[in-house]
Amino acid sequence: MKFLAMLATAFSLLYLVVVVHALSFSSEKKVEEIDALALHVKDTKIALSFPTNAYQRFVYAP
Amino acid sequence: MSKIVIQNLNKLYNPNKPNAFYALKNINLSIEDGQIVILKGVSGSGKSTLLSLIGGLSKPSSGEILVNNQNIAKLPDIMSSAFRHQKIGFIFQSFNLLEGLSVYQNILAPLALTKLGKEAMHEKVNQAMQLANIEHKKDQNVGSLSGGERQRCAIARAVVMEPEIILADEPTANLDKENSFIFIEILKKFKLLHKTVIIATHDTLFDDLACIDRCVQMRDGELLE
Amino acid sequence: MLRKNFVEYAILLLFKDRNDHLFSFLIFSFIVFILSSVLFISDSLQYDLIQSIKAQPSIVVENTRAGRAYPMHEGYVYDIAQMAGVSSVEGVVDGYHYFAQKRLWFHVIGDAHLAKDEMLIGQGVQKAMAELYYEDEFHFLTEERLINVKIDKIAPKGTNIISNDAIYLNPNTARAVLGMEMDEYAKLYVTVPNPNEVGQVALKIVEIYPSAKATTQADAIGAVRHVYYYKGGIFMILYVIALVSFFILLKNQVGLVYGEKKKEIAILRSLGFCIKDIIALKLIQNSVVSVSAYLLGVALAYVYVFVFNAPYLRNIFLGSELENSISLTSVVDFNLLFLIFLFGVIPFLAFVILPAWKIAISDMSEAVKS
Repeated sequence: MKFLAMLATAFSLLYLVVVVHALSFSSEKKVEEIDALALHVKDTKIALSFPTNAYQRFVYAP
Repeated sequence: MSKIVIQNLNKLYNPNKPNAFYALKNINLSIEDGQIVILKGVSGSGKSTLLSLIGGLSKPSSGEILVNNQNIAKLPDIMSSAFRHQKIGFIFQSFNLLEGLSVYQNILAPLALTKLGKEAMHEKVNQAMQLANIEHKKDQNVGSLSGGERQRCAIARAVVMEPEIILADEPTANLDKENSFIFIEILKKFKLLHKTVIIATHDTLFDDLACIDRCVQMRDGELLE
Repeated sequence: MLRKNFVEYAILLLFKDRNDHLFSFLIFSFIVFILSSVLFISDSLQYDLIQSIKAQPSIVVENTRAGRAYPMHEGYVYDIAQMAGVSSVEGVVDGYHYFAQKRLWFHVIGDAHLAKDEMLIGQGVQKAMAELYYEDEFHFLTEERLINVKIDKIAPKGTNIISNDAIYLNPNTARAVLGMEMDEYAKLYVTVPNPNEVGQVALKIVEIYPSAKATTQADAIGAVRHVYYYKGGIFMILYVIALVSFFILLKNQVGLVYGEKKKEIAILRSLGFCIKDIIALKLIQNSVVSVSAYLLGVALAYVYVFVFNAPYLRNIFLGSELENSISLTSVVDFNLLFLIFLFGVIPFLAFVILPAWKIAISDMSEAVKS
């Protein structure tokens, strides 16, 4: 039981760090910045820098 | 009332196949409480099969095995396992220890099914180790024990639940003379504790022992009495 | 069945075979880590992309000639503006400028809010320019001349997903850089106030200009929702890696029950463990291993993707020609994580418990004699 208790404690701490990080992430600011730019540029595309199109098609739908 | 009553017991292996054979044929036997009984016979006479059936390790093809007036041959798995856990202590020829665990941890195995507290379990394991004279090796891995020590560990595990019946299958087959005598000393302790013991063996060492109450001969799956 | 003594003994037996279980634990953690990392990064990028298409025009018109992008002149604007249902048409300058010194393409975008000599660049562009000491101004080298523009502003890091490779210029400056005429446009933004008419208008545009492509807002949003090439590429490689690892894992799991372990089950049965106890034992042991491995895999994936911003994996998704110091938004799809759990842990357990049950129900008298 000691082992299980230690395991549970270790994972609780790990996930506490994860949850704290997730909650502290300021996504609002990022959304505002993207919104501001998207309002000017409207038809935005993802900024990719692959050497050729073939590489790009490796991840993204054509 | 007899402790163990066996009536018209048969065990057929490979039924409905060309190589079908009777390991036990029409066995009838009564064993009283506190008796030490030897099952004698050569290899293949059915001694181990009879022990397996009494211990509930397998089911007979037909017949009854009454222990304390309860027919264990017809019990469902849960009840048969509970019977084996509480009433039977089995000592195997090859000891059947859990490799990779210590002596203490091996003896602890049957107690895993109980609700006992830590101290109570520790007490029981200590008592079993004392009876088998193996406490000095309690933290040693069973893989590094000698043959005699492994058997004493197996004996301790068999008695830790304080069973009424002890079944030993060829207990001295893998032991030297010295360790065989140690086993006989432990057998005498079983006698004092009023345990019912059945030993399947062809070792002549048991022939003239005072603590043996009865000797039953077996051949080709039948009793010769 | 789940008594304290029983659970403790199950853990004791788990440690007895720790090497085998550790192997299973590591493989399963690896599989979960890989799947979760790709899931996190792809969801995070998609989340940001979805934020960026909020101002998507009703229809975007692009012209082609010989399969390549070709500019449109004022006539297009006029013709489309005359169509019923169209309230306005806005021409846009957009294209790519080749930065020969670093062999990179920069995405040049006309932004009417910028003055003639103003330039806003993405962070990736800034780093590439700075490497060649273009820190205050940049020289665009075209066929005709050299155009100097001051580097005014850097796009905020939060917009890297769309701005990293971008240079925003006044439309006329952009035309000069891209070699377009004053009345030429790379794209047209068509506004159709009634959403029910968008499809019809798009068809009409293509009728008039067969070489043009008219992308509706719905198409653009759909493209962002299905942005990944799930049927191939990295996702296929990922499935194959996960599948092969999983088979190795399952083989190991089955091995946990056969051989020496078969005798162990027989020994426990002979000591009074019933069939349910054997199943419970294996369930406890393998639940501890599989659930811990799953939790570790997911946690490590989260830390890798959202704390360290997925080095190496980020390059697979965004390309590495231009450095992209994107900060990935913390997006967790619990449904998919649950599916990974379901399709991972259940087979993991089944491949041990089923053989264990089969062995437990067999005649133990032969097994204990061997």
